Amino acid sequence: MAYHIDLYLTYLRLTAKSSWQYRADYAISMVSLVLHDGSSLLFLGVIFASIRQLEGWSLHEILLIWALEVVIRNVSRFFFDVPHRIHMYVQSGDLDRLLVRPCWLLLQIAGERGMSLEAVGQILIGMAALLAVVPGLRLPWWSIFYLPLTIVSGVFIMCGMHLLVSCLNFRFTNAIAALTTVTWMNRFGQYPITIFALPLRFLLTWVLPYAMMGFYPAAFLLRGAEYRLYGLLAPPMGLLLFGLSLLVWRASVQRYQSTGS
Amino acid sequence: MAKPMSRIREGLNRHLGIITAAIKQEMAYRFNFFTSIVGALLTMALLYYLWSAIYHSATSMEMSYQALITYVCLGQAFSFARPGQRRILVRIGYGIRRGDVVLDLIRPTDYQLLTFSETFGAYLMEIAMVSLPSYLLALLVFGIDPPASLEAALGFIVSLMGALFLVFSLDFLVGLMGFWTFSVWGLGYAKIAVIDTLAGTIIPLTLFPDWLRRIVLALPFKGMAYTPLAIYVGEIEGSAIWTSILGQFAWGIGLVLLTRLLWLRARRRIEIQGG
Repeated sequence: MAYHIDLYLTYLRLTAKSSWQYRADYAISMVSLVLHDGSSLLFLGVIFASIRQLEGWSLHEILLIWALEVVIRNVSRFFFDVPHRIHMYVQSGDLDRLLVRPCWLLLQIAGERGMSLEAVGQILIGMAALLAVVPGLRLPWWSIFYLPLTIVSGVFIMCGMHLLVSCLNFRFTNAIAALTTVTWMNRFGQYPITIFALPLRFLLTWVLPYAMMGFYPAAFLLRGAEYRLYGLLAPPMGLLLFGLSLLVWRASVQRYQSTGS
Repeated sequence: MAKPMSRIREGLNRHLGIITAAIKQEMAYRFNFFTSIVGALLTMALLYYLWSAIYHSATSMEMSYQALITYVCLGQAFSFARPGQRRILVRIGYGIRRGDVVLDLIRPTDYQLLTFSETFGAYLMEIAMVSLPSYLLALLVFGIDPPASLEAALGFIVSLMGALFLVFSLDFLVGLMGFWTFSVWGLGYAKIAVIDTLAGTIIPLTLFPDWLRRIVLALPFKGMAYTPLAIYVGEIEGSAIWTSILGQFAWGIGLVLLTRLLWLRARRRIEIQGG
């Protein structure tokens, strides 16, 4: 375990060094991505110029959900952008090269291509938004513990969910399309899911649990009892989903047959 | 006398060939069309519920509910901000960066025209394979309105072409950044942000606060989404349809010329590096 942690940190250092070689390009990507996430802020700003509440949720409450989603998604991409890389290894047969090394596969993929350090800009604006809205919302005292826990479990939920979908790569050649679509749905997690129709709510809670990352934890902090069940469910769900995805990943690799090229 | 005519015909044939080739190239990714449709419908669903909620929470709004929903759903069907569309932008940018652009330069045709024909071909495919199916589904599933009038339908189609001009100049401009940066991929995200917000894809510009609306209406970005969509739903009507299309094309031609100047200047950099 210590060996793997050490290796991961070495990989992280290497990725940082190579980003530093292209620091201007790195900065451009970072700023572009910040604009991409930031455009939601403009959207919220414009609509809240004409409404006071969105079906009972205030601007600051929605910003809390938004900020949680942005931080969680980008922390996941920063440290573990592996699910979006797996198809390259499976299709090219490059996975063979990694299989013969005495180290966890996922860690090697993370090290070679799976850390998107340009996400740091989005992490920062997400954090800034959190720090800006939290003081005004009068959250319960235990939110000092609950909020960080939520971010960690959210990262596990997101990584687990995406890793599970990316295991489809071992069976279908076009599985990346499925992952792209699933990834695309992250935007649903930025709003109170009470505005969606029931089937969508079910989907976002139990199938692609984006709502477990930002909405339910935020709603639990803001509304208390009404969302207690889901709010308490989110952290164990992260561990469960990530554990499950690791099991499926192991089984998939064991059945993996190289393309032979 | 026959010579200029035959030259024009030859040029047209050549570019028709490029367009067909671009269409065939797109077909190689046809599974991506399926993903794009699903993505378009999902985003439509998101915006549908979001805007319904916004509408019901507002005391008054400058657009009717039906026009609003039609606008945002149609905006997704014909969006220029789909992630898949970065393919062309990235192709130009990486072609320049990796030097593949040299192969394009020795072809007996103008580089900008070449990329325009390619973009055009890819766009026709996108309309047929993604936009029209999503549009039909939007009519059925989300119950959006048909065009406000016959003139609006016609104006919408013409204005969509104008939008293509504008988007092409933006893509070409971002692609040219390949001379200076490896991050054309990243810049693609900035482009999406611009088209989503400043062009009015996810928020009708009508609903912007006054001061902000005055600014965005003066910028060329509105022609990439707001103009065609507002014509379709009847926000822009009567003779205003044709004046706004005129403005769109004026911006389009201006920006194509501007990027052309940039390109001619940038091209010299290749010649220097090639020595």
